[in-house]
Amino acid sequence: MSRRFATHAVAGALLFAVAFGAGAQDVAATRSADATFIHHAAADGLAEIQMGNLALQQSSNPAVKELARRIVSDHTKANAELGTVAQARQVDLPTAPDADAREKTATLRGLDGAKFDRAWAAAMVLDHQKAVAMFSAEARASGGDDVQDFATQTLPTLKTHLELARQLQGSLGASTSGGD
Amino acid sequence: MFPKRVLLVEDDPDTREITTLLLQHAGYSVIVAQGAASGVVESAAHEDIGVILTDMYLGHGESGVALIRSLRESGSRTPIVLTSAHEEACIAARDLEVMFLPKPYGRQALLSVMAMARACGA
Repeated sequence: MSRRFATHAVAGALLFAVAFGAGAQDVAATRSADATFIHHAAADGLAEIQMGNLALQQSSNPAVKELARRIVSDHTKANAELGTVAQARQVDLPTAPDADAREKTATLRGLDGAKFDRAWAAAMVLDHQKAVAMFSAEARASGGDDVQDFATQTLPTLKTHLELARQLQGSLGASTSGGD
Repeated sequence: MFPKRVLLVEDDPDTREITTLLLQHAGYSVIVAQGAASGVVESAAHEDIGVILTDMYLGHGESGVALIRSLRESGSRTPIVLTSAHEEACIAARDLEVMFLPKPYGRQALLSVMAMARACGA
């Protein structure tokens, strides 16, 4: 009898250890996924600010400048809010956009006139499609924490940017050079 | 025949490096981009691109399909090859009227599809 009790006790302890271990692993995985999201969201936010500032310097189209101003303002605000979340979680934020975004901005810097405006608007559409997909996934994720709240609150702004960028791209029309 | 300049849009660094080397060895000049937005910017900046080779899934929610749609909407008629290991990419390529290159691909398959794209204007 006492032997059976001991067997049950050991089995129970093992079960608890496995369950507790799995729970700890889940928490670690969630924290890691959140840190990855924070890093990408911050780097992409910096890229949008940089691209917006470039359009303010380089474009003479009032519609491009208007959207650029809005993008710079909204992403600056969003990155400040993300900074608070990152600080609470002791996650280091990137100080510059990623390499691909830096290269994209450098290439855009070499364009001018209508060519710049069309390429900038197309890039804004694609960048915001990516951002909406990324933030939607985070907003849908279970957890109900500060990262999820940030994604949920920022998502409508990103959707508005996407819609405005699409409208801008439509108003700028297609290239007629046929060279590309 | 379209020029021997290729825009390669690929997020995986190993695939990007190997594909670039294979194309350069065959005499192609290669411009690389990691994402859809940088792909569209590079395409606008280089008017002499003969073929665009793009991966289907570019990471973080980006897709080659969005890039192709954007390029076509902007008036680009440059031949495009969509590549992927996923079956659904073949259907997407057919719908978008671009060529499809299944992954993993070798030197011969890559160069054949590039030559066909340049010749036919896929």
